[in-house]
Amino acid sequence: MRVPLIAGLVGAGLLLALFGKYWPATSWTVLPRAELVAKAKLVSAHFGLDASDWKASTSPSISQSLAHYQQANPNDANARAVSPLSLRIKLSKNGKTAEVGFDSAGLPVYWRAPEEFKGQQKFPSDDAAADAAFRYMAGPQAANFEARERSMGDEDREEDYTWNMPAPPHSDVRQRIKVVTQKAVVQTAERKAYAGSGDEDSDTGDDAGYWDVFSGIYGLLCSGGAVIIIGIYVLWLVRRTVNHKFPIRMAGVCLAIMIARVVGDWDFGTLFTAFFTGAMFVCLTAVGRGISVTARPKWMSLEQTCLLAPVGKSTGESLLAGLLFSPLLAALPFLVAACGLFHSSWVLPHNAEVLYSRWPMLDTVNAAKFAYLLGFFGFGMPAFARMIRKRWLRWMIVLPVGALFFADMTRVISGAIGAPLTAGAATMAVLWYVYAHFDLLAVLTVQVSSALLLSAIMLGQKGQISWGIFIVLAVLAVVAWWCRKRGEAVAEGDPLAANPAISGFRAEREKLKAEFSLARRAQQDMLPQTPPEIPGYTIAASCTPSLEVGGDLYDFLKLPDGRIGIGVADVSGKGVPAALYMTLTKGLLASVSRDSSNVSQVVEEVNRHLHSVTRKKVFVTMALGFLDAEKRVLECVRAGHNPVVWRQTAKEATTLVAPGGLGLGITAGRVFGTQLKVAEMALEDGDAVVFYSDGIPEAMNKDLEQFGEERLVSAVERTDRMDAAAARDSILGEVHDFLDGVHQQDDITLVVLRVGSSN
Amino acid sequence: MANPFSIHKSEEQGLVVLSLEGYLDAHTAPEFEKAVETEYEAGRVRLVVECSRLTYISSAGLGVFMSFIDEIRGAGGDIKICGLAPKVFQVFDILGFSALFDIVPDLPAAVQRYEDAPVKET
Repeated sequence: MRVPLIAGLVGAGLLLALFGKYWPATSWTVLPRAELVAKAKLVSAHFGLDASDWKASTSPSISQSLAHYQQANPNDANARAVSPLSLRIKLSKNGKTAEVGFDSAGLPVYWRAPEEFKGQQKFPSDDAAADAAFRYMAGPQAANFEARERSMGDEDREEDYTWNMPAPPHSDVRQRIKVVTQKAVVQTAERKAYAGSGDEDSDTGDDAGYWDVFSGIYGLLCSGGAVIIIGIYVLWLVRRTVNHKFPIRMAGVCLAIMIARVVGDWDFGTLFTAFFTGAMFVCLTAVGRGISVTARPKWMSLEQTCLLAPVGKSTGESLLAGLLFSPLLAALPFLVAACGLFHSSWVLPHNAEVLYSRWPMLDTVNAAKFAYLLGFFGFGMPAFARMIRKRWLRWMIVLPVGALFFADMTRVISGAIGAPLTAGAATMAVLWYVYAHFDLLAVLTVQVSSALLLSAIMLGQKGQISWGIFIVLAVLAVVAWWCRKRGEAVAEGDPLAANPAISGFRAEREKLKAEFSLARRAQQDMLPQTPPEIPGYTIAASCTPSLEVGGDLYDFLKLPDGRIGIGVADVSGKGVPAALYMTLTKGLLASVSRDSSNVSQVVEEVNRHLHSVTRKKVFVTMALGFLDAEKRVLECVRAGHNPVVWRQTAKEATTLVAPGGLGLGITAGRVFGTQLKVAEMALEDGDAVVFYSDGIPEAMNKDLEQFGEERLVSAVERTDRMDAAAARDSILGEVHDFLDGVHQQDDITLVVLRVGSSN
Repeated sequence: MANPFSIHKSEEQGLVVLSLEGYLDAHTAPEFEKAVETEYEAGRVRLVVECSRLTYISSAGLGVFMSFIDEIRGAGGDIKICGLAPKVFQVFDILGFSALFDIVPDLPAAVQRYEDAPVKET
């Protein structure tokens, strides 16, 4: 913790020394938001709109070109007369909106009436109304403007008026006032200031030059990427039927709010964005669970924090390191601006808008864009590390990309593009250090708390104290300290946690998990991928283990006499032991059926082998049918397995075929042979024979009700005109609907044989 | 989800009666296994498993019956099963246990069966 502590002290010192000098807004007047909202209603009254009970929402903006000009020309009194910081207040009621804008000194700079505004007609003509509006907007500077220009409209149409104030000597700042009237009522009035040679028409007043391009591209890439990743993840979840309710619910709530916002036109932008950012963050973290084994340790404490899981020492250290590094990160852009390499540089942090914010803390966190960082360090870097093995080559690519990426975040404003790039590279270096020595949680903490710190300083500089920010920072510090202490205490009692490689232990678990999914795939691959093609029949099969691996199997056999064997078997128990016996059973069945076409002989032989190798408690049940496709005869045995469902479509009859028979591996005695009976079924066109494992009748929903044989029989009866694949899907669909989200407790296997080629 | 399961032991005319209640599945089977093992090691091999309050049995539960039957019969004893609810009986029956075990309606019938046939012939 020595390095973070030193970094923190150095950063704090730098901030104290440099902030006031390189933050342009130091000299701006900033009126409190509430005062400006009250004034906005007065302005609207002046233009003939009584908005006293209208709802107000605000959006601040900063003209970077003006701010930059002011910083570069500190002696231009003309420039200092206008403020780059402005606030727009949207007044709304019953779907109608008006807008009023102020500069930071509280002078009105903008008025826009609601659509189809037919206000009180105070003036005899358009000209008189426009002149009055002009004087209102220009205030004491009215004399400096040139005579108005008017663009004539037809009768009843809008009239446009323009007044220009040219730049006085030794200044490069011009102003323009535009007024639009209709029927002697002022529709819009606007005062704008321009610095330098900026194009007046395209300059919107809150321009950001190349920053906008950067931000736009990053935003698009990041949000687009996030949407795609989340989409793929959700699909993957559905496919794997893994139960990750948390992120899906978050995404759902998020979507619901988004829809409600669009439909209901609610106006709570900040809260919404904060929630959306949070939800996206949680989703991304959930996605991080699927990240490769090597990158996993960096995600651990973040994941624990997101799930509000018990926190350990590493979580505490990450939070603490993040907090300690934050002053340095906040000071970096100021240091670059002050270093003397770049003339007239200054820093305009992303979150300068908090000066007018209703919820400074939320706005700050929103502006911190930590999802970008998560993308860069959590996904981008590990992916790079996988793709590019050569270390030097990787850094050759990552460094410039990172410098560009973080240049946007630092917002050093300068004539030279080198300034933001240097700041970007420095920021990346610090963040990289934090990532390498701690983890993702530390990276995000340093980003968020440095943004909070800057906001607090900016507000404090203007005499506003945001207690919320201080409380959050203090709570973070306390939580960090507590986690660290508690982690140490836990480590004393638990030798496993004391191991510094606790994350390594978790990685080990992940590795095991990966092995299991390999095992699952291997087991699935063992089952026939496509059923045999038998002219005049269709066959379809499915086997879904309840855990990663299972003890169910199905198989199709080619018998020596040319008949086709169809088998479904179920090993007692679940999971790995069952899976091992499943493999054994499959092998036995395949090898025995190569030498014999007698169905009872095959089963007896399999039983004998199984009994000699299985431990006493393990047994296998099997239903096996030998089909003579030409004669349409199916010989069936049932070794302790569930009955086979035989649907005789033409006769409209359904039978549970259950000839006697003991489970395999229970006894090698004579009793097995004497009990085993063969059922012979004469199939007709349209008939279906359904083999299944007990996972279907015993499937249990949340009311602890079993699917049962009766539901299965009716499900089979409903598939009368379907081919085997459609019937299988329909039956499994009914089981799935019955379970209604409850995870299957047992392996589910189903094989459908349908007589008749299709339909 | 922990399913309730309990075993109640009693004696009836020199037979040990194990009454099962609740869910006998992979989680609770070891408990049952332990109970049978205790009796077998104490030389009490004439067992009756009374199942009237057994609501569910899984393959792991069935495995317990199998695992001791050879030793118990070798020692001149047996396991008679009684009082199965229809649903539970179906599970025993599907697996073919009716051919391997004496399954009788109730406790008196189990006692009677010990008099008729101390060890089931298979």
